[in-house]
Amino acid sequence: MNLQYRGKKITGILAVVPQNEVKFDDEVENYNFSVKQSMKLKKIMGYDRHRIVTEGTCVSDLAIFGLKYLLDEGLLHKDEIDALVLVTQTPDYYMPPTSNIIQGKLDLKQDMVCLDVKQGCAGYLVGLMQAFSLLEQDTINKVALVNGDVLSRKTSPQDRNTFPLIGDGAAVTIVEKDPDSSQIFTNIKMDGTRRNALIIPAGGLKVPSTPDTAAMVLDEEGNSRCLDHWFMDGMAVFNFVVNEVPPMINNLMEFSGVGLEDVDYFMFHQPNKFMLQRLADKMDVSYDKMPYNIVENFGNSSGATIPTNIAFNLGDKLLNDSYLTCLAGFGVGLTASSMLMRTGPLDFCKMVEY
Amino acid sequence: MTAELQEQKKYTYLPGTCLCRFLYIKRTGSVAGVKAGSRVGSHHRQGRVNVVDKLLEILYEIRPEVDFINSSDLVENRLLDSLDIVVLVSDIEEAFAISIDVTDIVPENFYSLETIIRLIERRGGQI
Repeated sequence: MNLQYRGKKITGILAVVPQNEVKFDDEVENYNFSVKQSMKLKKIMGYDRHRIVTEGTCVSDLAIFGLKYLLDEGLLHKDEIDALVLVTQTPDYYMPPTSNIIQGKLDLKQDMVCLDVKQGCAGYLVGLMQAFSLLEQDTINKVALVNGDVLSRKTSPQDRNTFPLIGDGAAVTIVEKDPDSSQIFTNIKMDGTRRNALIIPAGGLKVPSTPDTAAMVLDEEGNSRCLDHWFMDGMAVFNFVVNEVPPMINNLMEFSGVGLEDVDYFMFHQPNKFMLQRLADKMDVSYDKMPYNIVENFGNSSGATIPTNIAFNLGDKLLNDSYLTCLAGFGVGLTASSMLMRTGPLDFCKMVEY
Repeated sequence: MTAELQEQKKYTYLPGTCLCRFLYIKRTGSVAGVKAGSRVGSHHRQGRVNVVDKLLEILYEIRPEVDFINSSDLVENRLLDSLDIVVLVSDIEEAFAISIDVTDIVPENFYSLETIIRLIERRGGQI
């Protein structure tokens, strides 16, 4: 589905990563595989170190820390926030919405919209779409979009398919009206028939958590996890991405009338180095235009990877200049989405540690 | 040695063993493109044999416990997982000096020893 937006822009990005850094080398012994093979994977996939929250930290803690930082630094004012959109797969509770918890703890105004969106790897684009739609209202001028996940709390440390690549984190993106901004083009595809490729099988109402669902099981491939943990069918996800993303980007270029060579940066979701390099090769895009270093430095924080990628790789550049950027997110759902927009100059674009 | 063990030994490929000899002994089905019972000891297919030998060496390093000669549907049967495929692709590219296109990284191409060899050959791989 193609969508377009006018008169909106991103004015600031703040990425929040936990201080706690864990090195892959220190985790190798957790996996039921030879150290030699794990070290090969380290090089190929970009596993090096990742940020993991300490016990008990929730997505609201990361979000509140980021928003409070902006408020304290005078980069954001409480009364300006007309809507708070939180995109997460790891909410604090079933109810109430975590966005309401954040609003209450920060004592934000009550005359505003709080909204939780459950999305993962494509969650930055889905969140932006939501923010753009809210900004169509006369009474909404500024939206604080928060993407965040603490997936380490739902991932088995003995699952080589998932634990080495994940990282916890959040990002605050401020989205505002700007009648002079360029048109934003986006497209999105949902494929719920492949919903089991990325799933936490237990813990919802379909399969409530019990002692049985918490029992660790060794699978045929040598990974240990329980039904309360996140599961990934790596091959299915890989095939989804390599088959869907390149044509999706081509369609976006056609839709926008922009050539691939005119795009300054391809700021994609960060699943792993291998997949991103292969995608860049397939799209004939140079690696310096498509960074793939977030997994090796921070881990894959799901919907927060794109803003983290932007803050880490383009932070200073975006303070003074603007670039034609192509964003793309793909994963749980399964969902794939891409967006073309001119980004910058931004009021702020940086990273902070929680 | 029991008859059962003798039978198993016949079908167990030992890394480093000449594959021609193995395939000649096996005599059943079509393995790695060599028809049952065909005499391959003449090494007319030496290039392919080298590819198979090297590939088996790579595969056994990734999953020593798997009988790659006699197994098929490697992905569906979970004998190779996605990260094994990642390592396999990387090792194959290095060993055979080829580039495997991202669209080639699908379960069908990693169905069996035979399909992996075909993939390597399609991409111009040789030793």
